[in-house]
Amino acid sequence: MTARQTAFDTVPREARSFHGEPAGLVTRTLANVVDLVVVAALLAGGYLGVAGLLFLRRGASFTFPIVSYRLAYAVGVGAWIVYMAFGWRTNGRTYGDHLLGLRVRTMDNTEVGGVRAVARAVLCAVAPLLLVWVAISRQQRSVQDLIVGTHVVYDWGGSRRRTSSEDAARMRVDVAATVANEPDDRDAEPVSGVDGER
Amino acid sequence: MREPESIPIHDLPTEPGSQTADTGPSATERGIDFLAGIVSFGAGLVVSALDGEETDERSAGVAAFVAAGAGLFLEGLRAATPVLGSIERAAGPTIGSTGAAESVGELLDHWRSSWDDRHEDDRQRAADEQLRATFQRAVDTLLDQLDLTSLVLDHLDIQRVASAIDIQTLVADLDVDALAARLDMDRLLDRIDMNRLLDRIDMERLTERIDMQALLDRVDLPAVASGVIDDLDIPQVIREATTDTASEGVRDVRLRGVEADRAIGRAVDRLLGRSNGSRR
Repeated sequence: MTARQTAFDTVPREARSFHGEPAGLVTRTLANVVDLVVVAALLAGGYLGVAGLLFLRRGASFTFPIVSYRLAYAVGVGAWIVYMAFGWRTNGRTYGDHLLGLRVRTMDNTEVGGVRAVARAVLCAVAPLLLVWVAISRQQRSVQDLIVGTHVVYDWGGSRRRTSSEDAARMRVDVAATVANEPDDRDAEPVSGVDGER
Repeated sequence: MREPESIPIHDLPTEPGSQTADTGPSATERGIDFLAGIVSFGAGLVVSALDGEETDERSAGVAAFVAAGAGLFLEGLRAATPVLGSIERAAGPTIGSTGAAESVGELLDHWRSSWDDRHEDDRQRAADEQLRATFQRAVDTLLDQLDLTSLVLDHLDIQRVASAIDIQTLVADLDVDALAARLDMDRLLDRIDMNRLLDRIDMERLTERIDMQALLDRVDLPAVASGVIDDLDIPQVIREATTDTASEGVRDVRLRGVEADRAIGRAVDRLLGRSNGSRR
């Protein structure tokens, strides 16, 4: 028997009042910070990996590779672009967005396509400060959002196909209470730190 | 065709004293009577048959001859009667003692009366037939002249007649199934205003009368429930809910982030002089 798509909404109860509303400057900035940390960690891991390979090859003559600032910047920006574009295209959210309960949608409330995701990632990487426009915009959209026709909404739900506010009328299942001890707890720690720093 | 007229022979004068006071006509007289009857009847038949073709000169002659012959024969009989009577009286004791004369007389009487009866029956039947035909024609003519429908409508009190009819008995004889089979239910339903009909139904009372428990007892709830569960793909729901929802700590961060967003938004609104709630 083929089950049809479930009509349940996995948005937790406390998030339902603002589910689908455009997100503000604070959450989006925090999400970007998380993403930066993640990308930095990835780059550091990559650097250590390369260093490990070099150590295996050179042995006693091993020294840590010197990376020029320009190369580090270029690789960092490139990694960030790929990371964000991949996240938005596949799930509508990066890891930072996921932690802060955000999702990127088009203005028609559809999923973000590949071109849009890449363009938005490039704009965000090249000019991240344009995010400040969110605070001024009535629709809480950054300059990047205005250019590529997207917006960022609160979405604590699990699945990418249930993110619009019109889903509010659907039957909901409160599953939040049952998942107190899940692997996400580990990931929550650095975010708490970020929250504390703020 | 004219009825053949019998020539009267019954009132032939009898010789006074030709019979004793205490006995009826003698056997001889009765035999002569019978013979005369046959002759007169036969002569009547012949004459009437020949009368049918009156134009024929010859048949008229024959008829006259037959009639004359018959009359002559009858006269002869009349003349012979007293003679035969006296002979009978003379031999009376011998013949009478045997009883033969008596029984012959009775037999002849019986023949004659049966002959008469049959003749009478035929005449009666013909008359009945004619009467019936005449009556039929008269009634037909009468009905042709009358407009029965208007007559009934003008003079009949239909209401009274209808009130006298026992509808129950009538309905009991009715085959309602056959009647329903002839009805076009679709057309009938098209003519019914369902909304008005439903307005007139008291749903509260209707639902009160439904025994929900009995209804539920008849439902195979486990089967229904398992069908629903199969349809919903519960494992998929759980998978989505557990993989993407966050822990308490993350939810706390998210909620604080939302509050901070709103605070920033309100501050900016105040700063720019925008009315509250302008943001979505």
